[in-house]
Amino acid sequence: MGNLILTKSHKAGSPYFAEKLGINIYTGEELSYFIYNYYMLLDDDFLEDRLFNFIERELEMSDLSAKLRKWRGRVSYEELLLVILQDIHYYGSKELTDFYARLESMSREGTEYVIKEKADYLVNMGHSYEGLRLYDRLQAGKSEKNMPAHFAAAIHYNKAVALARIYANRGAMREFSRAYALEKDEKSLKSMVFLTCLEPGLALPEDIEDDVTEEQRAAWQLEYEDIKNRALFQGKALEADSAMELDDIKRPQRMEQLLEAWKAEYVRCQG
Amino acid sequence: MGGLVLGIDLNDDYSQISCYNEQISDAEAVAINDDEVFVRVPTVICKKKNCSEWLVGEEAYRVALFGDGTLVDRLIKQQNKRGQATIEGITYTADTLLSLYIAKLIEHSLKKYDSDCIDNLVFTLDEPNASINDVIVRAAEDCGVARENVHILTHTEAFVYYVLSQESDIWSNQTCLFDLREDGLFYYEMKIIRGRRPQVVEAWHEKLQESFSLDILGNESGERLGDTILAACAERLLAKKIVSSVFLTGKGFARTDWAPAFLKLICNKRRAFQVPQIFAHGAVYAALDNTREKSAYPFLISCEGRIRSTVSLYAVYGGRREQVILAQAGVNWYEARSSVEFILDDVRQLELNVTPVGGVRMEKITISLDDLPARPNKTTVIELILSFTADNTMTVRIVDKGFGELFPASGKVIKMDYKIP
Repeated sequence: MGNLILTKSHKAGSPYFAEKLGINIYTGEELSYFIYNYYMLLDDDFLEDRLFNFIERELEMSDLSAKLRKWRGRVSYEELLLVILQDIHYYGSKELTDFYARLESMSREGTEYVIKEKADYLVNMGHSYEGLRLYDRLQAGKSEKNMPAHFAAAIHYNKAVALARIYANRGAMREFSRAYALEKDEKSLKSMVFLTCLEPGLALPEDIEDDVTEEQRAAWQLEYEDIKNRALFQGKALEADSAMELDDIKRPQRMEQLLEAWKAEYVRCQG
Repeated sequence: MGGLVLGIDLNDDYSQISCYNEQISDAEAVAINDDEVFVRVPTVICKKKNCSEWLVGEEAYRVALFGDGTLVDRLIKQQNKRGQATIEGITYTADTLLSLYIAKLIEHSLKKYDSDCIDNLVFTLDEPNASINDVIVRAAEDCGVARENVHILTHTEAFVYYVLSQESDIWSNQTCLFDLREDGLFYYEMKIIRGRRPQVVEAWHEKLQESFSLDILGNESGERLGDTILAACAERLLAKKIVSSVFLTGKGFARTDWAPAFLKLICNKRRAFQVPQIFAHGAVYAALDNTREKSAYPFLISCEGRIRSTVSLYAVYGGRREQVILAQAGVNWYEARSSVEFILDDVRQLELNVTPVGGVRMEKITISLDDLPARPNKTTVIELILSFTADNTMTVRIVDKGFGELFPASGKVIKMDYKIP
């Protein structure tokens, strides 16, 4: 059986701006949700004075902010996050246990795994540049030979996806081919064929050309066309399409709103 | 305390004003003319011919009688009927006329006490409703009285406040009131139900079918008939009851020498009081209580005009499941509005508990939330607004507030009306 949660925290007059999401946070519950669901987006400087001042002055939770200031540097980053979640009471004990277990398992997995997971998460959230920086850090920090092949291939593959998202298709092709060299996975081949469809001037690397059969190429090209067609009816295309259906007065207003929102999203994702 | 503490009894026939006098530590009747004669102010308003001056009460009658103005009466009934009056080619709604009348009463009171503000103002009416209450509150606000300092009671509530403000032996058992007015004979009764915390005061009233026109009191045989009718009523109503005291009010009891049999009956082993301003005085006592930090009436008053059930639900607060009271039994329905925000945690319906005063079984009201937008768990904030349109009619509004900028509000509102015990 579910529960109603009586909102207790004060609504901020001056909200906390979460840059990574491009949104303002007004209540303790929203802050808890942000930490719980987007902890991978949190930078090392998240637990700093800007947040503590927000908790103290805007959420009027001076006890919590005092606790955080006192314990900063003495307890782990994860434990401080947990203290915030506990004091706001938005999540129950079971959810907090799960959250802490997730944080702990990440730290058990080793630094490379944590960095990769964070990079993957950033790319999924649209922060491709930040993700790329982390992939570069991973590749520069440790020799590929010392990593498991599957892990190294995954880094190349995900880096290729991030590059493709910022239209750096040549770099993406290079990374896909490196991933394929480390792990002969059909997924990488298919992505490379997709890239050639996306940018017709781009060819498959010579050493890979023979690995793609004519049947595979034909099937993947068809699949690409299908995805491209479906993209016209979802996401931003759909938003733009619905704006076009508005009357002459509302259409330009809505278009302007959409453009503003997309520009803000683009700027946010530049990292 | 700098301003006035006022009680105004608004009736269709006449109105009465009482004011708390700090020097005598009691309520006193306020006359609106200089010669202190008219404590009953006829509920009429008159616009003087060819000028913008409005007059009320006896003065309005006088001007209209001499043909120097246009008079409108029955202001309460007119407001209930959404009536209007056209004077010198201009149409005035009943709301406007009633507002002007109220403004005049307030203006006279401030002038009489040489004051410029009102600390608390309580109106009392026979049958308040949302529409007339809104007009009264707005009129008072227009006169500079803050919204939170204006309250409206039923006559039954005002009667209870008056009685509870007297020495306790007066209300140790049942207490009754006969109100004989132009528009009928009304009977009120109240009793204390002991053994509960807080003690419960139960009160009710009815319009008696045996009422008669006050015109019959103009001759001896009519007086005898009136006395017989009243005595029969009293015998029936007071039989087999332990009644400590009986109050008499209304224009019909301005004098009581015409009703010896009735008086003999009500005074038999009981105390009887003639209180012309009982409702206005009761309103003043309520107004005075509103100015206190802690009420001097530690009772749960269950009567017309007050909610007879507590409405609550369960919610988690600070990690613990607790009962959240949305409307408390004993609160005036017009002032029982509440608004609380909740986050839905795997909740598809709301369950309100309605618990009547007196331990009758609790009722449950279930409200489906299926019409709200689908979102991840715990990312929908709802504002639950509870208000009343009568003491037994509750309106529940559920407003989707979204979850900040993460999940913007849809503006969706679920609205339901319920009858409650």
